[in-house]
Amino acid sequence: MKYNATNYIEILKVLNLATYWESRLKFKRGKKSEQSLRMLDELGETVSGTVLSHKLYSENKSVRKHAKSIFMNLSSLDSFKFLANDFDRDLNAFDKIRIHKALVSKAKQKPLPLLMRWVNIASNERFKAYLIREIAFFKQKDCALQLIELYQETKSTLVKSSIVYTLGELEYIEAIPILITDFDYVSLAKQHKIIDTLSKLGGPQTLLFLEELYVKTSNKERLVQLLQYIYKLDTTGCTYLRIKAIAKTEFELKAVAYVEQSKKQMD
Amino acid sequence: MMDVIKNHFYYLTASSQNFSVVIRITILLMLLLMGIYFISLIKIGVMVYRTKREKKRRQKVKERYEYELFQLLYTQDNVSASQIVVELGLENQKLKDWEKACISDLLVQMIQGKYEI
Repeated sequence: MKYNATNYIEILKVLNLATYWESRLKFKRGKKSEQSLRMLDELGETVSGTVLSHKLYSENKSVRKHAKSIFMNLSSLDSFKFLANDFDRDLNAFDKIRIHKALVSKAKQKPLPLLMRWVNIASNERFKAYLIREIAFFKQKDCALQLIELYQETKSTLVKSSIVYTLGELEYIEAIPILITDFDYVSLAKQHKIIDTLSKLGGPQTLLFLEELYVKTSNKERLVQLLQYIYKLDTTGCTYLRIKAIAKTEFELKAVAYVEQSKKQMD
Repeated sequence: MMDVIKNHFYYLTASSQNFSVVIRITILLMLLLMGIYFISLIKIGVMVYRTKREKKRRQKVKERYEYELFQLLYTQDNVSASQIVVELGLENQKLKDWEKACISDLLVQMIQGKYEI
Protein backbone atom coordinates (compact mmCIF):
# COMPACT_ATOMS: atom_id res chain seq x y z
CA MET A 1 0.00 0.00 0.00
CA LYS A 2 1.31 3.44 -0.92
CA TYR A 3 1.39 6.10 1.75
CA ASN A 4 -0.05 9.57 1.29
CA ALA A 5 2.97 11.72 0.42
CA THR A 6 1.23 15.04 1.01
CA ASN A 7 0.28 14.05 4.51
CA TYR A 8 3.77 12.76 5.15
CA ILE A 9 5.38 16.08 4.24
CA GLU A 10 2.78 17.90 6.30
CA ILE A 11 3.57 15.73 9.35
CA LEU A 12 7.29 16.43 8.95
CA LYS A 13 6.55 20.14 8.87
CA VAL A 14 4.23 20.16 11.86
CA LEU A 15 6.59 18.15 14.04
CA ASN A 16 9.66 20.13 12.90
CA LEU A 17 11.55 16.92 12.38
CA ALA A 18 13.85 18.21 9.65
CA THR A 19 14.82 21.24 11.72
CA TYR A 20 15.58 19.02 14.67
CA TRP A 21 17.90 16.73 12.71
CA GLU A 22 19.55 19.65 10.97
CA SER A 23 20.29 21.26 14.32
CA ARG A 24 21.84 18.01 15.47
CA LEU A 25 23.98 17.98 12.36
CA LYS A 26 25.86 20.97 13.66
CA PHE A 27 27.39 18.96 16.50
CA LYS A 28 31.09 18.45 16.23
CA ARG A 29 30.85 14.87 17.45
CA GLY A 30 31.00 12.41 14.58
CA LYS A 31 28.46 9.97 15.95
CA LYS A 32 25.65 12.46 16.28
CA SER A 33 26.10 14.07 12.89
CA GLU A 34 26.42 10.69 11.28
CA GLN A 35 23.14 9.57 12.76
CA SER A 36 21.47 12.83 11.74
CA LEU A 37 22.70 12.59 8.17
CA ARG A 38 21.39 9.06 7.91
CA MET A 39 18.04 10.07 9.31
CA LEU A 40 17.71 13.06 6.97
CA ASP A 41 18.58 10.84 4.07
CA GLU A 42 16.00 8.27 5.09
CA LEU A 43 13.28 10.79 5.81
CA GLY A 44 13.79 12.02 2.25
CA GLU A 45 13.52 15.59 3.43
CA THR A 46 15.55 17.98 1.32
CA VAL A 47 18.55 18.95 3.41
CA SER A 48 19.52 22.56 3.09
CA GLY A 49 22.78 23.06 1.27
CA THR A 50 24.31 25.33 3.88
CA VAL A 51 23.98 22.76 6.64
CA LEU A 52 25.41 20.08 4.43
CA SER A 53 28.32 22.14 3.17
CA HIS A 54 29.95 22.10 6.63
CA LYS A 55 30.02 18.36 6.52
CA LEU A 56 31.43 18.01 3.00
CA TYR A 57 34.93 18.53 4.33
CA SER A 58 34.48 16.92 7.75
CA GLU A 59 37.38 15.14 9.39
CA ASN A 60 35.22 12.10 10.02
CA LYS A 61 35.43 10.12 6.81
CA SER A 62 32.13 8.35 7.14
CA VAL A 63 30.28 11.64 7.61
CA ARG A 64 32.19 13.27 4.80
CA LYS A 65 31.45 10.55 2.30
CA HIS A 66 27.81 10.30 3.22
CA ALA A 67 27.45 14.08 2.91
CA LYS A 68 29.03 13.94 -0.52
CA SER A 69 26.64 11.29 -1.73
CA ILE A 70 23.64 13.24 -0.41
CA PHE A 71 25.04 16.37 -2.04
CA MET A 72 25.11 14.52 -5.33
CA ASN A 73 21.48 13.69 -4.88
CA LEU A 74 20.27 17.14 -3.98
CA SER A 75 22.38 19.89 -5.34
CA SER A 76 21.13 21.79 -8.33
CA LEU A 77 24.42 23.50 -9.05
CA ASP A 78 27.03 20.91 -9.80
CA SER A 79 25.84 17.62 -8.45
CA PHE A 80 28.66 15.61 -9.92
CA LYS A 81 31.38 17.75 -8.46
CA PHE A 82 32.64 14.94 -6.26
CA LEU A 83 32.90 12.34 -8.95
CA ALA A 84 36.07 14.13 -9.95
CA ASN A 85 39.02 13.61 -7.59
CA ASP A 86 38.11 9.94 -7.18
CA PHE A 87 35.10 10.82 -5.00
CA ASP A 88 37.16 10.42 -1.85
CA ARG A 89 40.64 9.36 -0.90
CA ASP A 90 39.28 6.24 0.69
CA LEU A 91 36.60 4.52 -1.30
CA ASN A 92 34.89 1.33 -0.22
CA ALA A 93 32.04 -0.88 -1.35
CA PHE A 94 29.49 0.96 0.75
CA ASP A 95 30.37 4.26 -0.94
CA LYS A 96 29.87 2.61 -4.27
CA ILE A 97 26.34 1.66 -3.23
CA ARG A 98 25.69 5.21 -2.10
CA ILE A 99 27.00 6.71 -5.34
CA HIS A 100 24.95 4.22 -7.30
CA LYS A 101 21.83 5.18 -5.40
CA ALA A 102 22.45 8.87 -6.05
CA LEU A 103 23.12 8.25 -9.73
CA VAL A 104 19.94 6.21 -10.11
CA SER A 105 17.80 8.90 -8.53
CA LYS A 106 19.50 11.56 -10.68
CA ALA A 107 18.91 9.48 -13.79
CA LYS A 108 15.20 9.43 -13.02
CA GLN A 109 15.04 13.22 -13.19
CA LYS A 110 17.20 13.80 -16.26
CA PRO A 111 19.51 11.76 -18.46
CA LEU A 112 22.94 11.50 -16.86
CA PRO A 113 25.96 13.15 -18.46
CA LEU A 114 28.44 10.71 -19.96
CA LEU A 115 30.29 9.06 -17.09
CA MET A 116 33.30 8.62 -19.35
CA ARG A 117 34.30 12.16 -18.44
CA TRP A 118 35.13 11.13 -14.87
CA VAL A 119 36.72 7.87 -15.94
CA ASN A 120 39.28 9.95 -17.84
CA ILE A 121 39.93 12.24 -14.89
CA ALA A 122 40.07 9.55 -12.17
CA SER A 123 43.41 8.35 -10.93
CA ASN A 124 42.27 5.59 -8.59
CA GLU A 125 41.95 2.43 -10.63
CA ARG A 126 39.28 0.87 -8.47
CA PHE A 127 37.16 3.96 -8.91
CA LYS A 128 37.75 3.91 -12.66
CA ALA A 129 36.68 0.29 -12.88
CA TYR A 130 33.60 1.08 -10.81
CA LEU A 131 32.57 3.98 -13.04
CA ILE A 132 33.00 1.84 -16.14
CA ARG A 133 30.63 -0.70 -14.64
CA GLU A 134 28.16 2.08 -13.98
CA ILE A 135 28.39 2.99 -17.69
CA ALA A 136 27.25 -0.55 -18.39
CA PHE A 137 24.38 -0.16 -15.93
CA PHE A 138 23.12 3.06 -17.50
CA LYS A 139 23.74 1.77 -21.04
CA GLN A 140 25.64 4.84 -22.19
CA LYS A 141 26.49 3.62 -25.68
CA ASP A 142 28.26 6.84 -26.64
CA CYS A 143 31.11 5.94 -24.32
CA ALA A 144 31.94 2.73 -26.19
CA LEU A 145 34.46 4.26 -28.61
CA GLN A 146 36.38 5.92 -25.80
CA LEU A 147 36.29 2.71 -23.80
CA ILE A 148 38.00 0.87 -26.63
CA GLU A 149 40.69 3.54 -26.69
CA LEU A 150 41.15 3.24 -22.95
CA TYR A 151 41.29 -0.54 -23.29
CA GLN A 152 44.23 -0.27 -25.64
CA GLU A 153 46.03 2.31 -23.53
CA THR A 154 45.60 1.11 -19.96
CA LYS A 155 47.76 -1.48 -18.28
CA SER A 156 45.52 -2.13 -15.28
CA THR A 157 43.85 -5.54 -15.37
CA LEU A 158 41.00 -4.31 -13.18
CA VAL A 159 40.07 -1.53 -15.59
CA LYS A 160 40.53 -3.79 -18.59
CA SER A 161 38.24 -6.50 -17.30
CA SER A 162 35.50 -4.04 -16.42
CA ILE A 163 35.79 -2.55 -19.92
CA VAL A 164 35.39 -6.02 -21.39
CA TYR A 165 32.28 -6.56 -19.28
CA THR A 166 30.86 -3.16 -20.20
CA LEU A 167 31.41 -3.61 -23.92
CA GLY A 168 29.36 -6.79 -23.70
CA GLU A 169 26.56 -5.03 -21.88
CA LEU A 170 26.57 -2.17 -24.41
CA GLU A 171 26.45 -4.70 -27.26
CA TYR A 172 29.20 -2.87 -29.09
CA ILE A 173 29.90 -5.17 -32.03
CA GLU A 174 32.89 -3.17 -33.30
CA ALA A 175 34.83 -4.39 -30.25
CA ILE A 176 34.89 -8.02 -31.44
CA PRO A 177 38.12 -7.93 -33.53
CA ILE A 178 40.00 -6.10 -30.79
CA LEU A 179 38.93 -8.57 -28.14
CA ILE A 180 39.82 -11.51 -30.36
CA THR A 181 43.34 -10.21 -31.11
CA ASP A 182 43.91 -9.52 -27.44
CA PHE A 183 42.66 -12.92 -26.33
CA ASP A 184 45.91 -14.85 -26.48
CA TYR A 185 47.88 -12.33 -24.44
CA VAL A 186 45.80 -11.99 -21.28
CA SER A 187 45.31 -13.89 -18.04
CA LEU A 188 43.01 -16.87 -17.74
CA ALA A 189 40.37 -14.99 -15.75
CA LYS A 190 40.23 -12.27 -18.36
CA GLN A 191 40.01 -14.80 -21.13
CA HIS A 192 36.88 -16.09 -19.43
CA LYS A 193 35.48 -12.57 -19.34
CA ILE A 194 36.27 -12.06 -23.03
CA ILE A 195 34.48 -15.28 -23.93
CA ASP A 196 31.45 -14.16 -21.89
CA THR A 197 31.41 -10.79 -23.62
CA LEU A 198 31.82 -12.30 -27.07
CA SER A 199 28.90 -14.60 -26.40
CA LYS A 200 26.79 -11.53 -25.66
CA LEU A 201 27.93 -9.74 -28.81
CA GLY A 202 27.40 -12.71 -31.13
CA GLY A 203 27.95 -12.54 -34.89
CA PRO A 204 29.64 -14.86 -37.44
CA GLN A 205 33.15 -13.69 -36.56
CA THR A 206 32.61 -14.62 -32.93
CA LEU A 207 31.26 -18.00 -33.88
CA LEU A 208 34.28 -18.72 -36.03
CA PHE A 209 36.61 -17.69 -33.21
CA LEU A 210 34.79 -19.80 -30.63
CA GLU A 211 34.97 -22.80 -32.90
CA GLU A 212 38.71 -22.38 -33.38
CA LEU A 213 39.12 -22.01 -29.66
CA TYR A 214 37.06 -25.13 -29.01
CA VAL A 215 39.36 -27.20 -31.16
CA LYS A 216 42.47 -25.79 -29.49
CA THR A 217 41.49 -25.77 -25.84
CA SER A 218 42.26 -28.53 -23.40
CA ASN A 219 40.64 -26.91 -20.37
CA LYS A 220 37.58 -29.05 -19.69
CA GLU A 221 35.62 -26.42 -17.85
CA ARG A 222 36.10 -24.00 -20.74
CA LEU A 223 35.15 -26.70 -23.20
CA VAL A 224 31.68 -27.00 -21.69
CA GLN A 225 31.32 -23.24 -21.55
CA LEU A 226 32.33 -22.85 -25.21
CA LEU A 227 29.96 -25.57 -26.25
CA GLN A 228 27.11 -23.82 -24.48
CA TYR A 229 27.86 -20.50 -26.12
CA ILE A 230 28.26 -22.03 -29.58
CA TYR A 231 24.94 -23.83 -29.15
CA LYS A 232 23.31 -20.55 -28.14
CA LEU A 233 24.83 -18.39 -30.89
CA ASP A 234 24.65 -20.82 -33.77
CA THR A 235 21.28 -20.08 -35.31
CA THR A 236 21.83 -22.24 -38.40
CA GLY A 237 23.17 -25.15 -36.40
CA CYS A 238 26.04 -25.88 -38.86
CA THR A 239 28.93 -25.09 -36.56
CA TYR A 240 27.41 -26.96 -33.69
CA LEU A 241 26.82 -30.05 -35.76
CA ARG A 242 30.37 -29.89 -37.03
CA ILE A 243 31.68 -29.83 -33.50
CA LYS A 244 29.33 -32.58 -32.46
CA ALA A 245 30.65 -34.75 -35.28
CA ILE A 246 34.24 -34.44 -34.15
CA ALA A 247 33.44 -35.16 -30.51
CA LYS A 248 35.15 -38.43 -29.71
CA THR A 249 36.22 -38.65 -26.09
CA GLU A 250 33.77 -39.68 -23.45
CA PHE A 251 33.96 -36.29 -21.82
CA GLU A 252 33.08 -34.45 -25.04
CA LEU A 253 30.10 -36.71 -25.69
CA LYS A 254 28.87 -36.15 -22.15
CA ALA A 255 29.34 -32.40 -22.53
CA VAL A 256 27.29 -32.37 -25.75
CA ALA A 257 24.50 -34.33 -24.06
CA TYR A 258 24.60 -32.03 -21.05
CA VAL A 259 24.39 -28.86 -23.17
CA GLU A 260 21.47 -30.13 -25.17
CA GLN A 261 19.69 -31.34 -22.08
CA SER A 262 20.11 -28.04 -20.23
CA LYS A 263 18.91 -26.12 -23.27
CA LYS A 264 15.81 -28.27 -23.47
CA GLN A 265 15.11 -27.72 -19.80
CA MET A 266 15.40 -23.98 -20.26
CA ASP A 267 12.96 -24.04 -23.16
CA MET B 1 41.33 16.86 48.75
CA MET B 2 44.90 16.90 47.60
CA ASP B 3 46.03 16.46 51.20
CA VAL B 4 43.93 13.34 51.59
CA ILE B 5 45.45 11.78 48.49
CA LYS B 6 48.93 12.76 49.60
CA ASN B 7 48.28 11.31 53.03
CA HIS B 8 47.25 8.00 51.53
CA PHE B 9 50.22 8.03 49.23
CA TYR B 10 52.68 8.61 52.06
CA TYR B 11 50.97 5.99 54.18
CA LEU B 12 51.30 3.43 51.38
CA THR B 13 54.94 4.26 50.64
CA ALA B 14 55.83 4.19 54.32
CA SER B 15 54.05 0.92 55.06
CA SER B 16 55.55 -0.79 52.02
CA GLN B 17 59.05 0.48 52.71
CA ASN B 18 60.16 -2.78 54.22
CA PHE B 19 58.69 -4.97 51.49
CA SER B 20 60.63 -6.28 48.56
CA VAL B 21 60.30 -4.79 45.09
CA VAL B 22 58.07 -7.60 43.85
CA ILE B 23 55.53 -7.08 46.60
CA ARG B 24 55.51 -3.34 46.00
CA ILE B 25 54.87 -3.77 42.30
CA THR B 26 52.11 -6.24 43.09
CA ILE B 27 50.40 -3.81 45.43
CA LEU B 28 50.64 -1.07 42.86
CA LEU B 29 49.21 -3.28 40.13
CA MET B 30 46.41 -4.46 42.39
CA LEU B 31 45.38 -0.92 43.18
CA LEU B 32 45.51 0.02 39.52
CA LEU B 33 43.47 -2.94 38.37
CA MET B 34 40.91 -2.43 41.11
CA GLY B 35 40.48 1.14 39.90
CA ILE B 36 39.97 0.01 36.32
CA TYR B 37 37.55 -2.65 37.51
CA PHE B 38 35.36 -0.18 39.36
CA ILE B 39 35.38 2.30 36.51
CA SER B 40 34.29 -0.42 34.07
CA LEU B 41 31.56 -1.52 36.45
CA ILE B 42 30.19 2.00 36.60
CA LYS B 43 30.41 2.33 32.83
CA ILE B 44 28.54 -0.91 32.26
CA GLY B 45 25.88 0.25 34.71
CA VAL B 46 25.45 3.52 32.84
CA MET B 47 25.23 1.74 29.53
CA VAL B 48 22.57 -0.64 30.75
CA TYR B 49 20.61 2.25 32.19
CA ARG B 50 20.78 4.18 28.92
CA THR B 51 19.77 1.22 26.79
CA LYS B 52 16.82 0.48 29.04
CA ARG B 53 15.76 4.12 29.00
CA GLU B 54 15.97 4.22 25.20
CA LYS B 55 13.89 1.06 24.94
CA LYS B 56 11.26 2.45 27.30
CA ARG B 57 11.08 5.72 25.38
CA ARG B 58 10.59 3.95 22.10
CA GLN B 59 7.85 1.84 23.59
CA LYS B 60 6.17 4.91 25.02
CA VAL B 61 6.23 6.82 21.73
CA LYS B 62 5.03 3.77 19.88
CA GLU B 63 2.04 3.32 22.17
CA ARG B 64 1.13 6.98 22.07
CA TYR B 65 1.57 7.89 18.38
CA GLU B 66 1.75 4.68 16.36
CA TYR B 67 -1.92 4.32 15.51
CA GLU B 68 -2.49 8.02 14.83
CA LEU B 69 0.54 8.34 12.55
CA PHE B 70 -0.41 5.25 10.64
CA GLN B 71 -3.92 6.56 10.13
CA LEU B 72 -2.62 9.93 8.91
CA LEU B 73 -0.12 8.36 6.53
CA TYR B 74 -2.42 5.85 4.95
CA THR B 75 -5.57 7.89 4.56
CA GLN B 76 -6.68 8.97 1.10
CA ASP B 77 -7.71 12.49 2.15
CA ASN B 78 -5.17 15.24 2.57
CA VAL B 79 -5.15 16.63 6.09
CA SER B 80 -4.18 20.12 7.19
CA ALA B 81 -1.51 21.08 9.73
CA SER B 82 -4.04 21.93 12.43
CA GLN B 83 -5.79 18.60 11.94
CA ILE B 84 -2.52 16.78 12.43
CA VAL B 85 -1.89 18.67 15.67
CA VAL B 86 -5.32 17.70 16.94
CA GLU B 87 -4.99 14.08 15.85
CA LEU B 88 -1.67 13.68 17.60
CA GLY B 89 -2.93 15.51 20.69
CA LEU B 90 -0.21 18.14 20.61
CA GLU B 91 -2.33 21.26 21.16
CA ASN B 92 -0.86 22.17 24.53
CA GLN B 93 2.48 20.49 24.50
CA LYS B 94 5.71 20.58 22.59
CA LEU B 95 7.58 17.47 21.57
CA LYS B 96 10.75 16.70 23.46
CA ASP B 97 13.91 16.00 21.51
CA TRP B 98 13.94 12.29 22.23
CA GLU B 99 10.30 12.06 21.17
CA LYS B 100 11.20 13.62 17.83
CA ALA B 101 13.98 11.08 17.35
CA CYS B 102 11.69 8.15 18.11
CA ILE B 103 8.89 9.50 15.90
CA SER B 104 11.36 9.91 13.01
CA ASP B 105 12.32 6.28 13.42
CA LEU B 106 8.69 5.21 13.40
CA LEU B 107 7.93 7.30 10.31
CA VAL B 108 10.90 5.91 8.40
CA GLN B 109 9.80 2.39 9.18
CA MET B 110 6.29 3.18 8.01
CA ILE B 111 7.24 4.82 4.71
CA GLN B 112 9.62 2.03 3.87
CA GLY B 113 6.69 -0.32 4.04
CA LYS B 114 8.16 -2.56 6.72
CA TYR B 115 5.33 -1.82 9.00
CA GLU B 116 2.20 -3.75 9.85
CA ILE B 117 -0.27 -2.68 12.41
